[in-house]
Amino acid sequence: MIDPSYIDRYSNIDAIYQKLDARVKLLITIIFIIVMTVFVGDNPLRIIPFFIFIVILSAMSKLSPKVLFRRSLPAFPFLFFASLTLWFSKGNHPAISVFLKGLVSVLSVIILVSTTNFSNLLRGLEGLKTPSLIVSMLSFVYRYVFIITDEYSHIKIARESRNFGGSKRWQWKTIGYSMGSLFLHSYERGNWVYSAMAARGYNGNIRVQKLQQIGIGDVIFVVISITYLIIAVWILS
Amino acid sequence: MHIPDGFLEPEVWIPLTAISGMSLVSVSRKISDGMDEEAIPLMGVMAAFVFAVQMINFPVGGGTSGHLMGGVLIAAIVGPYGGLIIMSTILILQALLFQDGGITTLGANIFNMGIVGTLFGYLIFKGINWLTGNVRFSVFAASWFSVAAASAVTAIELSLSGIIPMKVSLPAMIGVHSIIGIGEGIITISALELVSKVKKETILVDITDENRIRKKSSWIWLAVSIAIAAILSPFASKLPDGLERVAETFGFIGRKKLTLYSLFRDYQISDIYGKVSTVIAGVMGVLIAFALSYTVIKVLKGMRSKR
Repeated sequence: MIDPSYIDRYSNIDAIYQKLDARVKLLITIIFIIVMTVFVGDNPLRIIPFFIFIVILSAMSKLSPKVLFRRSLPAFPFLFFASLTLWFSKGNHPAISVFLKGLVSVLSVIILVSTTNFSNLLRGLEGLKTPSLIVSMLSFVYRYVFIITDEYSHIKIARESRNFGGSKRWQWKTIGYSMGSLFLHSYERGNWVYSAMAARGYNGNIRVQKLQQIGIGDVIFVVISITYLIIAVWILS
Repeated sequence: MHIPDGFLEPEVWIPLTAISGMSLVSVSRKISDGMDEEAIPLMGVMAAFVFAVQMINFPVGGGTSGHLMGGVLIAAIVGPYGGLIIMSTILILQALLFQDGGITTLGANIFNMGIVGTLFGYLIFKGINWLTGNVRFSVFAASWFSVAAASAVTAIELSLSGIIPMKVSLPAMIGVHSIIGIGEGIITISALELVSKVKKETILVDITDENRIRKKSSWIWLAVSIAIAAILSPFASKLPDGLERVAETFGFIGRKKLTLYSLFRDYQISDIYGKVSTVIAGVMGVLIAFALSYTVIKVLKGMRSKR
């Protein structure tokens, strides 16, 4: 199951990138991915300037290549499979370039997420005008996803230990019942959570500390990254 | 079904992001207006529940396994709009934290699994239920449809971006997912069954509701139209070719050579897959038609009652 300390483990390292404003990092990451996927095209060599950008970011955030590689592993199966089909239909270059595009965007998201503590990331999303309902939902999911998946792993162990098997239809039905009971557990927990929050004065709004103002360092970072991307696009075209 | 970055061309992901973004903003406004404070923590925990549901694998056969989408399940629990919000929340979290799906393709993924898989799946449920009065069957049909349709739009998006030709991707994706859809249907039914028996008041759709009058005649109509669609579609439906032609005229996919397709053709696989997939497409068409007629009649009734 998922390890809760997985996500925020590197967000408190003393490095330049970790200190930047969440909104700024989020915005630059999105712009970076859009520019890259649009301008790389079918030639894999054109990814080089974007890869250099990622290397610079990871150096700024003191994340080791090993960590980045390990965290990008979940994305590999789909990337690999889809590029393989592409390799059959269109040949080497487009397949490699699609694979690299996918990989570099995954790396940039990993750098963003592992250097930003999750509640700051949410405030960054809020700053970029995400509907507030979705932002507060995200904050709840982030809190409870580990508990609920853990709950399901208990149900699963109980099921397996009673020699789960047999016909497919029966297995499907049994999985359905375990999901039903997972739902009931989650519902109960949701009620407890609400009571606990109501007891602590919750009235519908989640009060959070305001994000700090955008500092001089953030502005410099934005200017340099945008200039870099413009030069990269200019060289490529 | 989560599409990563780099797999969709801007012509495809920009409009989809616009559609998903606008529907998310309008739906979340609509929900927040009528929602009490209690609902947000509960919806958050429900979202965590669906996240766990999507990690559950089930055996499909041939050594492979599929995983649940949970779109119709969550719509049957909290309603279609809440379902869309929950599904989108999960997709955002998966893209940001678990590298499952990309950032530029987030809009497309929300469209496939949120709008088609959850919102439209619920509409299918309503349509079939209005026609037959059988909740259990409607839940099954809608769950099956939601999986098959989400995979179909994913395949269409990928081929419009020139990744995999439509003649290969559409039959292959729909073929696999129409089997996974059966699993999804049965699992959704039994999950709802347990909850309806134990705690009826927590969910919107009570599957053990036997009080409805079964409309026998409409059952026959449903069976007849599905049978006709299944028999006629191999002759009549030129949907994949038609879409491909549209794509070619717009210049999305004119440049590529279909080598994988010819590879398949040597083994006669694509013909079999092709026939199966057109039959499935015909059945999906019937379900869509019922959902649409349900909506039209509802809207007409609403207009009449306002007057």
